[in-house]
Amino acid sequence: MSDNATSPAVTVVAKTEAPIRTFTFRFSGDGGEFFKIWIVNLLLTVVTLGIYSAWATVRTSQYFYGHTKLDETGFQYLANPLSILIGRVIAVAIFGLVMLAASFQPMLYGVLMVLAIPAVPWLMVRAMRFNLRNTAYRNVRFDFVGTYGEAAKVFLLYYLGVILSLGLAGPWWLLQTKKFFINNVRYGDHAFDCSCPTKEFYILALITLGAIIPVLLVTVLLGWIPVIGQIVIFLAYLSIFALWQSWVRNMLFNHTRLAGDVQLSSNVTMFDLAMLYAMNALLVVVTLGIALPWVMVRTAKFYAERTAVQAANLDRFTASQNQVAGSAIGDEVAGVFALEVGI
Amino acid sequence: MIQGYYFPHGSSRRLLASITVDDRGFLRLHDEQGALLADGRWQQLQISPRLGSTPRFLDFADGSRFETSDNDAVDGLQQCWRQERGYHLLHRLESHWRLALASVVVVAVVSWWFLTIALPYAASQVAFVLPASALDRSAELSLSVMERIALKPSTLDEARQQQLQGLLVRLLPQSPAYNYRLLLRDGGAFGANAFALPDGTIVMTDQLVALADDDRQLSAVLAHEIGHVEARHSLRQVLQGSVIMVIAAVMAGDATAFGDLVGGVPTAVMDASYSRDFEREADRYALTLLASQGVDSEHFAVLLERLAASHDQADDTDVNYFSSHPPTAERVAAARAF
Repeated sequence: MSDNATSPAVTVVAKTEAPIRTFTFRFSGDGGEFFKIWIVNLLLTVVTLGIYSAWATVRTSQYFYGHTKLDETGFQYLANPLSILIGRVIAVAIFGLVMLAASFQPMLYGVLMVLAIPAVPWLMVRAMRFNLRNTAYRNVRFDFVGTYGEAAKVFLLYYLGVILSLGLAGPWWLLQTKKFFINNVRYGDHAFDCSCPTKEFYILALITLGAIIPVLLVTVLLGWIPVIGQIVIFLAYLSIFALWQSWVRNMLFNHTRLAGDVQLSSNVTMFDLAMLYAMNALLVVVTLGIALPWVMVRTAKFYAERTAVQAANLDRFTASQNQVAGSAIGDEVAGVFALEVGI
Repeated sequence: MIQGYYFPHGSSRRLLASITVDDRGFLRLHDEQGALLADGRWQQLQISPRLGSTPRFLDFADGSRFETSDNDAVDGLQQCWRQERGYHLLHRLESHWRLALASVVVVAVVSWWFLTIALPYAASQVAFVLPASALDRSAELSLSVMERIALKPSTLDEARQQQLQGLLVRLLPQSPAYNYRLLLRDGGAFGANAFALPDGTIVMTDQLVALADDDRQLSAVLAHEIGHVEARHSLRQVLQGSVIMVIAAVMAGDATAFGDLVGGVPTAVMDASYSRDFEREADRYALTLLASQGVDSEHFAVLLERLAASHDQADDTDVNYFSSHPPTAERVAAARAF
């Protein structure tokens, strides 16, 4: 794998002639092995009254990052458990106080909720930055360069547009939020660029709305049958969800490039994803949660097998010169408020 | 010799390489052709902790990095040249099936103990330290919301209302710690119902009054509601519920460990379970109070049955994990056995 070119002439030739290869992701973790890590995490978290949870988070992330391999090299999770612990303590304190305010001082709670709105974009930016700065591949760190101003524009100002347009701008807005997250990601010095056309999001929104009609019909026709009717309805709604999720993922990945010429690709099918969700739900419910580690591993395998990168080689990315690890506070506060910041 | 990949500092360039360590702890890193790329002391490397079969990352002082899946070789050298007790012990904990299965039991038992014994106990201790007026604002707000959405002025005549007020006065403690008052209202959508607010306000609907054929049945209801107020159930529910919410939020926010599989279901189940415990406690308070005033507990049982019939939930004998009240059959049996 080493194309350790020694003279510039050789490098030029190698670059123009290097064929484009497809590198597939692979998840090499094992459910049984992770179960033992997971249960020790839970045990120590319970025994230490939650303090160990920060170390548990880091160990879980390191397991999943390390076993996610692209071209046989694993990803690396570099966050410091201590900074996660500090962030978590602050988040729990704020969250707990807000919860209590809701009961003891209803008026104060209302004021706090209004004040929280401008804090949401800040939390999202900080959470993204923390996670990406603590992610590395091939000794090069990722980063997130989205600013508070941009986030506020996309999530507050544009969202106002969605309300004023009575939802017609919804698909456009969704794409803007996805682009905000993707286009501000950096791998070393190199930018990701998502060029997904707005038209495709509108087509997908129409198809999803169209698919809801037969599902509503099924609900009305079969809803009265006990058990079987409910299972059919559950599967019908699951399919709609899987349709949307798989299309969005494929569309975004297949329109995203890194540094101009590294193409990402995803081929998740609606059926496979619906089966994954259904099996996961069944496993967790039947085993009362004990199967969660296996569910997490099979989910990671599922997505890895369906994700790839097309590039001539992966050797040419330069690390950024000025990178510092972000503080955990934004990340953990954001985490506790259960903000979805995933792409 | 440890095989792996070497990543020079500053770029994503990757080289096949191998590390050899001599008997003085001095390491040399060579590429495939045998050229020396890096050297130094093993002790000066920063090494990621062992985590199952996850690849290990060895960081050099110059910012270059070496990745290998040969965990056993790295562990052997670590034991030789550096003692990292903590993570070594952690790895041993994480590699035993028997220990893992024992942990399942310990986690289940400790969680159960915390949720059903420790948390309710702590909440009741804290609830009685806080001032009795802690939830007054909240009570006012709840009442004004309910008056807006369902409650209407009572249609009972003045004399009847006075009789009912008298029932409450006879049940109250000598010097009550709360500002008890009985509000009679047309229940609207609430139907036959009674509830207590934490400040001592008890609301009883006309429909409930009509349901009873003996005022001692209504005394039983009032005694049950006084039980809620005296035991500070609202406050305890708030405290317990807040802790559960915070735990659930941390678990849900920690997407790597629990994902969105957790959702709000366990929170709702716990809230309902606490609520059922409070109902049983209020029932016991009511039965004791009624007995002290010479009222037969049968009156309480009869009213519970009539209430269940009026709400058309006579067949709720199964335990419903989301229900805020215990099954009526259980409560009636407890009253008759009192």
